[in-house]
Amino acid sequence: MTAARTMVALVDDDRTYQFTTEHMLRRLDEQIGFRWFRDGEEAMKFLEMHIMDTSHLPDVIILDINMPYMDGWQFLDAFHAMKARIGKPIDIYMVSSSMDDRDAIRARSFEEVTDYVEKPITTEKLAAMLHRTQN
Amino acid sequence: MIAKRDIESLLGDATPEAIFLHSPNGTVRYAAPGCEAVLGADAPALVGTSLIDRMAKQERPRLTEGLLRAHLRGQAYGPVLARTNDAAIRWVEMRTRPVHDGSGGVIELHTTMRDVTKRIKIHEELSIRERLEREANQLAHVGAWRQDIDTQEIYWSDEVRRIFEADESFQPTVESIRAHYTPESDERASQALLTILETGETQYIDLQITTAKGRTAWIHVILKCEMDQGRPARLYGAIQDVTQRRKLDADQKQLVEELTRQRDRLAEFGYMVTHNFRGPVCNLVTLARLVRESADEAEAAELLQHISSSSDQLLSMMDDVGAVVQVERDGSVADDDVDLNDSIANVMKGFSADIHASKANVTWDVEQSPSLAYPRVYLETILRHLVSNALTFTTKDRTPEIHIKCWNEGHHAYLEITDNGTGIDLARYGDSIFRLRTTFHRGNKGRGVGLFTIRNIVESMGGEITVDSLLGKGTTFRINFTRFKGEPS
Repeated sequence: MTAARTMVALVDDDRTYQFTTEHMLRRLDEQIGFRWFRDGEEAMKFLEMHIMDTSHLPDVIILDINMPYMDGWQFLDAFHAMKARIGKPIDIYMVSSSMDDRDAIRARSFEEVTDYVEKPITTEKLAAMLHRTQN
Repeated sequence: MIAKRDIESLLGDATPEAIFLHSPNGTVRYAAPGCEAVLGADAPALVGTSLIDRMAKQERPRLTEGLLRAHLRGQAYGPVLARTNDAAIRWVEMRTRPVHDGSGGVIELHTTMRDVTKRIKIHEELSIRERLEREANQLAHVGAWRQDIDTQEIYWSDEVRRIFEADESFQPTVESIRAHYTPESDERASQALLTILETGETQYIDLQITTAKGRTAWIHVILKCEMDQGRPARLYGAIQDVTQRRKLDADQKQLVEELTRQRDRLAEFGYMVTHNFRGPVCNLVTLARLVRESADEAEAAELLQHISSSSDQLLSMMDDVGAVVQVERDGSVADDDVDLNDSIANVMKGFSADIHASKANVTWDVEQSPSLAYPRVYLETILRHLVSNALTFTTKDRTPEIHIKCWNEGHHAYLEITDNGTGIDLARYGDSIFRLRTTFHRGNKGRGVGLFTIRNIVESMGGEITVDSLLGKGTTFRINFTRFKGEPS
């Protein structure tokens, strides 16, 4: 385990989902850093602002597809354009309630996406995400 | 088909002949060779038998009578049905004349018999063909026409007359025919005429006519040109009544459009189930699991609170969709004769507090079309959502202006609502603004239900809703209530 605490960013407009995810993450790791963004644009602004400030940047981004303003796909495009300037590796998990195979295929076509996870997300899945990042 | 040589053989009369001498009552005294080919029995066998017995039963009385008359003054027969030994039906033509003795008395009758079966059959076939052609033309509503360019004389076949519902007394002339065309069709016909006279190329045009009985019909006209010494001499062609076909085509097009829209809406419902509904359900699943795993009572209580609000959210979503499904199902509810002034005022009453608070200036103009045939409940639901949107997405720096306008154009009825609010970035959201749970304003004021509901009502009633908006300037929603309804017949 690294000394620095793990930062997780959730980009999703669903408030209850935010609550449950944060709840599960804190159960897994009391020290965890958690940030919630309601849509891709909010998250992107935050990343831009802290692009050199690795302690604020997330290690993991849990990204929803359907959001107002800037959806998951648009976020991935924007992220792709800024990736080279980001000072640390970030794992992006695309998480959606969509049952559409096409969404999964499309998500995995982005090299920035570590994996596509269908909702409901489980504690085990979150633990695996943290484990990958922390080792 | 009748071959040319069949007709030639008829003219050449190359068919075999049988010659008899017989008594006035038909008993054969002498039969010339060649009977075989006509009656199917050879000459010696026929002697002593009755010619009358050779004929089909129904012909016998006529023949008996005929022979009697021939006895008196000579008699030619038309075709009669003969009975032959090979039992085949055969038509023969008989010519009988009396044979006199020196004192002028009749001693016997002389009959020549010719096999005309083939001729009869060809005649029958010809007349059947002619009749079939005539009937086919009638069935297809196709007629022929012809016009002499020098004399301007016009010929119409009976079927053309029928298509124009013109009686016998109608004289087709250039002017009398043109009087039946609508102005656009007259223009089209003139253009086709010019083209064919110039180029000689066959023209195909559809024209709308008013028949002699005042009925509106569509005809498909084929114009062909016959040249004589390098210049057009005659125009001719066919005219087909395509009114029914055009109507069917239009009906079919409308049906395909309606089905396409229904399919799109169905796809959207599918999308809702896989995307919108799964979200809250997944939340419930996760929350329930967390409750089960939770050892802390305070924590469990908080989780239960979330379960309760998630299930409320799910229920309200289902109700929203349910309302839309109901409209879809009851799409055929009867129209009311809605007084628009009345209806708009009624809707505004519900917003009086909001209008007062925002100092919004709400106006409407329904002068050009004060009433609308539409279910009143639907119309007011639509208005309520649109007015609510316009009052919600206002800017702080100017007084909200909301204007509603209703008008008619052709057989279409329109309603437009314009505001000077925040506007929508259409380049970004496009048509998705009409989707369920699509909100496009940060601050979560919209529930993402209104436009979805409106569009579904409008479309299931055969209309169309479109949006025009400029970010920061305002938004206009326009409804064509009858966009996909055909012209009233």
